[in-house]
Amino acid sequence: MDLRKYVDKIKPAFEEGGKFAALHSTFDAFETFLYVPNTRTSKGSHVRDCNDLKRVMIIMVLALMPALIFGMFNVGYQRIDGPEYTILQNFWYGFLKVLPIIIVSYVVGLSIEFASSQIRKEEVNEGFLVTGMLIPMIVPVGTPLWMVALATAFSVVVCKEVFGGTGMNIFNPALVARAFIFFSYTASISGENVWFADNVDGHSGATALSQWADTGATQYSVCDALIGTIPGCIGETSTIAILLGALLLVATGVASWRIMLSVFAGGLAMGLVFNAIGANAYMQVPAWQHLIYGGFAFGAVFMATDPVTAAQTNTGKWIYGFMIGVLAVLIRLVNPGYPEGMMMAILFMNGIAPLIDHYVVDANIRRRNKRVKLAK
Amino acid sequence: MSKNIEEKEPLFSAKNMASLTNPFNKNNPVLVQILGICSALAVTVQLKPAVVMALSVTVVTAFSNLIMSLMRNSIPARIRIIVQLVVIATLVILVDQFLKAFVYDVSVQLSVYVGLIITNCIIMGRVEAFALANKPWPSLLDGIGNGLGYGMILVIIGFVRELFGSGCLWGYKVIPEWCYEHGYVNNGLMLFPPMALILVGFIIWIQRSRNKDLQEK
Amino acid sequence: MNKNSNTYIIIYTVVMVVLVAVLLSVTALSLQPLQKENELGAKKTAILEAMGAQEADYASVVKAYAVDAEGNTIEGVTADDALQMLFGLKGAFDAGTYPVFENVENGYVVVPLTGKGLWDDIWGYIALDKDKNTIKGIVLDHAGETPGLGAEIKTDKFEGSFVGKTIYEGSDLVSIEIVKGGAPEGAPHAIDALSGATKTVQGVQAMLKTCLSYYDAFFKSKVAPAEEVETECNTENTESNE
Repeated sequence: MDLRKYVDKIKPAFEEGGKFAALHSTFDAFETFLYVPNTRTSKGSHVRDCNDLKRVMIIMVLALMPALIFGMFNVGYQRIDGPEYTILQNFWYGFLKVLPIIIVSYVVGLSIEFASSQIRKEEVNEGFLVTGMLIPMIVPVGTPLWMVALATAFSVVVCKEVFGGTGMNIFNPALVARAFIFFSYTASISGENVWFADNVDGHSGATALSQWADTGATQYSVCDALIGTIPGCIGETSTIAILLGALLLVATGVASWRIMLSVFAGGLAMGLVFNAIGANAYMQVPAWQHLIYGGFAFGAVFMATDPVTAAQTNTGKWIYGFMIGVLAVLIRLVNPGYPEGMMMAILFMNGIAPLIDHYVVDANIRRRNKRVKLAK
Repeated sequence: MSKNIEEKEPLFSAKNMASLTNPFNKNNPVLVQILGICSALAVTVQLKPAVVMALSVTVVTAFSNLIMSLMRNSIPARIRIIVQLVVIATLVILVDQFLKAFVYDVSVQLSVYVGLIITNCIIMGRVEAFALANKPWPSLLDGIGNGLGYGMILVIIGFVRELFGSGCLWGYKVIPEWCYEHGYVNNGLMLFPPMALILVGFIIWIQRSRNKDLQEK
Repeated sequence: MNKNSNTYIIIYTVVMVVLVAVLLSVTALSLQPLQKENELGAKKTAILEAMGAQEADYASVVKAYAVDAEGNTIEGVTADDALQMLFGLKGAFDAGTYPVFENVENGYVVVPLTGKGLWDDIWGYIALDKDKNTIKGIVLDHAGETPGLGAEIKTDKFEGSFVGKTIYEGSDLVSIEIVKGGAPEGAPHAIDALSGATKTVQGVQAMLKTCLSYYDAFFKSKVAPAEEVETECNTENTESNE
């Protein structure tokens, strides 16, 4: 049976006055997920693009796939006897461990989003499609599911819905979820017991960043870090997979290359400054290595570039990205309590981004006023 | 010619009771006037200090209202604020001394926040807004009402934070051991001040949903 | 009189200040003994808790004195003086005076500890058996460690893991090592560290090493006489732990 015809047949039941009018938002969400909306522009002329919010979200999810797939393989590989299994076996093991987290994230997040849209009698926005995929990728595989559920609920309600829904949030929702877990259940997201899926059998160990913080050296080589066979959160370990995603995002114009580039530049600059200071072993780690270990690359490509929470002006994007890089490395090296500083750096700059934009626009206006005055 | 007999307001008239009960809901100092937030965040990590703080603030607000109202006709205009400060500071010091003497363990937990009661805007706010222009008895009721309204919020937040942040209430373990064995973990974020602020936000959300007239248009 | 005239203001202010001053002084002076008692009481409770004698009466059970770096009891230091030293422990240590709290019933000695955690001060009391080697109890506290991580040093679980460990290897004061990843089963001088609280736990380890070393001479000098008494009544033979 033709799907389009079926959808058209049941549509009247969801309109005003129909039997299921209260569920209009839900129906609308599913309809527009499958088909391009049939609305016509009523005022003025517009250039229409095939890329609407939905398509942008889908491209972002696609860009996350290399990192996710590798992450699943890595979960299996990091087992104590991981290297003895084939790639496919490790991937399957990791898939089974990661899938529940993804399901929990989407189910909890989408239920709250649907419910909120229903109560407000608005359309459901697809904003959560990407956030729901990001949340599992920035938590360790050992995180209990109920914590993921609680964090997702907290993030969607306090970070998004309270401010007005998709597009209105100030802070990156995926990072707010991770921050919630970090501050609420610190022992469950740091230390040595959460990075390995077979922790039940007593396998535990530290991430490269914690090892740096302790001794200034790590057992994981640069090659390991680039490929991604190091312990860490599910999506953030493989620099190569992340860069593949970055290529897709930049090629389709979905994410800003300015932000990505400036984050790396900022991190490098701060790392060099601390190399020069060299007060302890952690500071002496070569600056460029900060970019490939830990959550730095993942944050730079997928989190900092979130169009809603980043700076909007081009000049603003350079400043915003650079400060993120600087802060991330600063927090790593100076704060003894946080070996990973990327999450804090991005959340902090999320708050500052509107201020940066304000001053960029302001400077622009003043510059143009001056030009006008000179011309007179 | 009619004699001007000043009607004495009955002690528990509707107007006086309104001074007492308004601050519980419609005019709550924390939720509606948005005063006294800082101490609401700082001392509500556990229920016991929250209750002691609530009682201390109620005592200070009530008596400073009473004393200032009694003095209201004799204070020189130029040193009005200074006199208020002296009265409130004296009351706060007295409360601090009593706490140190009779509930030492709570006093240690409250540490500097007892001394900071004087910075609590509720007290100066009520003195200025009410006590200086009203008779002593209504002022006393207003002070008690505002103190208790503030106290109510403190108790609610202290209850939630201690229960979910430490699994205890009033220092006694409430969440049974088998929960922990099955993987339940205390929520560390509850012990931080920002969570208290978020909780206040939730309470304001609930209050405004139920009281349409408190919603700004 | 005109309320706003200068004379009135001055008289008003003077009267108010005098009244307030009298009220506050009277209150403070009359409550002071109670307050002092409370402060001392808190310290006494901690000491008794370290000994495992929470129910006991401090005055009848604890003998307090101070020793110097050579382990000799300092003359003229009363029990109250020793207790007072706890209010400025770092200063007392710097001055070469080291308070000791001995349980006259079972011979346990409690010594105070002070050190630095990750963010702020940490302190505590450690109780040793008559042999001045085996730990019978420890009470730890902190000013501002991270909840869920460093703050866990204050839990019964962590404090309990010290009980039964020894601080001397032969005549070497090795103190207690807090091992990341777990101490080996049955190790006499090591306990498990707390995951995610490395710096705080390192602070505890350093605090133990430093403070116990102040009492090294005292512990060694006191062992000899105590051991003679031990042979009759010591049921927990701690030496055999090795």
